Amino acid sequence: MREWTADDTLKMLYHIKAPIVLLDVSHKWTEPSVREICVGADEILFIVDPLLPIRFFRKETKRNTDVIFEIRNMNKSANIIANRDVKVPNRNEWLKSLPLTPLSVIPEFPYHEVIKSIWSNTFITDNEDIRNELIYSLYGVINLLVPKDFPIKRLKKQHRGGLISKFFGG
Amino acid sequence: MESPILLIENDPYTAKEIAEILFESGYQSIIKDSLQEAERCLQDMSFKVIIQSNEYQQEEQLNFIEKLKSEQTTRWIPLIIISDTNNDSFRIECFNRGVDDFLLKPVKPIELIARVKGWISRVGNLEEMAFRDPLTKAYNRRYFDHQIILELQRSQRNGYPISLAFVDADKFKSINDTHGHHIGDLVLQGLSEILRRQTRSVDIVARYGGEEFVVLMPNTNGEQAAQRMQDILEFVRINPIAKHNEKEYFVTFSCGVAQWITNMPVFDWVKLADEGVYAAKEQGRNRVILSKVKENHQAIDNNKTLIAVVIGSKHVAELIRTEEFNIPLSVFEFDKYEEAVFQETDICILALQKELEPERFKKFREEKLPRDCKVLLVTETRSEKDVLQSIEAGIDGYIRSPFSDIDLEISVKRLIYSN
Repeated sequence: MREWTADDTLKMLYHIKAPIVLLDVSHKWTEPSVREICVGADEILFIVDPLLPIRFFRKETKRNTDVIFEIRNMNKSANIIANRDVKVPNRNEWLKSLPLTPLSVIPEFPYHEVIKSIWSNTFITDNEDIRNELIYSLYGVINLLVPKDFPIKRLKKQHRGGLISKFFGG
Repeated sequence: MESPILLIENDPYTAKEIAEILFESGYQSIIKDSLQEAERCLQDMSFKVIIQSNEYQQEEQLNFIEKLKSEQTTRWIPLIIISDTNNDSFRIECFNRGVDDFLLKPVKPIELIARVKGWISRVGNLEEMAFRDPLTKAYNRRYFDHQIILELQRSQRNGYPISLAFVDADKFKSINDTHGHHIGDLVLQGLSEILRRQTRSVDIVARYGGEEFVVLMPNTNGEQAAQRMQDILEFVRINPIAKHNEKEYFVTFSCGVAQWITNMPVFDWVKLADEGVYAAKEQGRNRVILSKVKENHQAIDNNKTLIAVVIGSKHVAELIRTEEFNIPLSVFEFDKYEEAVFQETDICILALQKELEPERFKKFREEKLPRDCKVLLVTETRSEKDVLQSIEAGIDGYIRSPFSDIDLEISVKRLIYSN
């Protein structure tokens, strides 16, 4: 058997019949094969969180995030989602340090809710308050990904977990 | 012509023997006696399978495999090694570097053929399904969109020029109208075949849409690319592109060629080549035009002060006027939709205490807002329904009160800097 390559992954993704195919490449976006897949995507979303201060000013990190600009220079769409946003005194500093204006800013959801949903085998979006907050925070992402003529309102009560799981949760 | 098999073997008797075995099963072979010769040949031709049967220094052989499997244009070609070396670690290293199959000598002819057939059917079908246009067998638009970026990266890395040709069949509509769609399809198939046959294997020929094809030519400057396309045009002028019921069909094309220049976005590059097609059509079709970049094509006025209209919130208007807001905006303020009177605006910030009324907003947008004006809705409602109907209504940004200054700044910047 030969090694599984980026091209194989792309071919596989093209065969998936779903409105949106989401591939989580974790933190490996600088690896050449993963990078190739990213370059082939219609939209590239970088998820960042505030866990490490000064992150975006470090030389090494800058090199990693330069890929966002390389991709944008090629006229491809690459955006940032600021995740796990918390209301702390340094919040402004963090948001202003991001290399791009974030497309969406998602708040940190209570840890116990995340664990509860994992252990009870439910989606976190089954919690109405969290779902509402998530749909609001993801306005920029939904607006970017969902076609303009898509009847988005019709979906909201049809599916367990609502809109988010319809598009991303399966 | 179907792609042949590349056979790398320096002993002429062995090479002939293997070529004959392949020929008996209907496969043509091209024989090269060194890895260097094979590499050169791979730049100019495409192959179904590569069989490498003579012994080299292991490192040299492994480097060859690695190079072959890292190149976008050759990595898909199944590589079969036939070797005398029964050494586990070498064989495993060959697989690690990307070899598809490894046979130890002596090889039974029937087994070699079975393996070659298997690889051709597996890889050929996969590529066919994912990346080929079913009618013309050229690469599809999706593959092209992906590949143009990879090839551009490669040319930037290696510092060589890269050019793009946009090809549009002349008077294709009248071929369809006069002779029917069946002949139209044959013409497209014929044009695709000629483009693929008359370009190098490293060039990428793709169907861009309808009767349009693109040819991506790495390591080629604009003049060379235009000359290559001119040669193809001269070929199709005198050779039939399709035959049906003993009748021959000829077609010419209009072609725009553009060489990529530093910092040029891919979209502009494709557009530049496409402009060449329009120029060629305007000048009477049946010609190749090399498009030149206009000097100031990318001039963008980053310091322009934008005009913002705020409806329904003094607080928001005050906030975005402050220096800390850090976006140069001329702000105009109104209390209600109906009162708003303005000539032009880049951003409209709409503050509502209740849910959006989609019809009312639609009317306002149609009557008062310029087409590319972005709208930010500032709302006090917290319902999911309001979020979704705002997306449907075409509201570009959405923010709930209360918000902090940075949230508003991000929301406005997002509208300004979004693509």
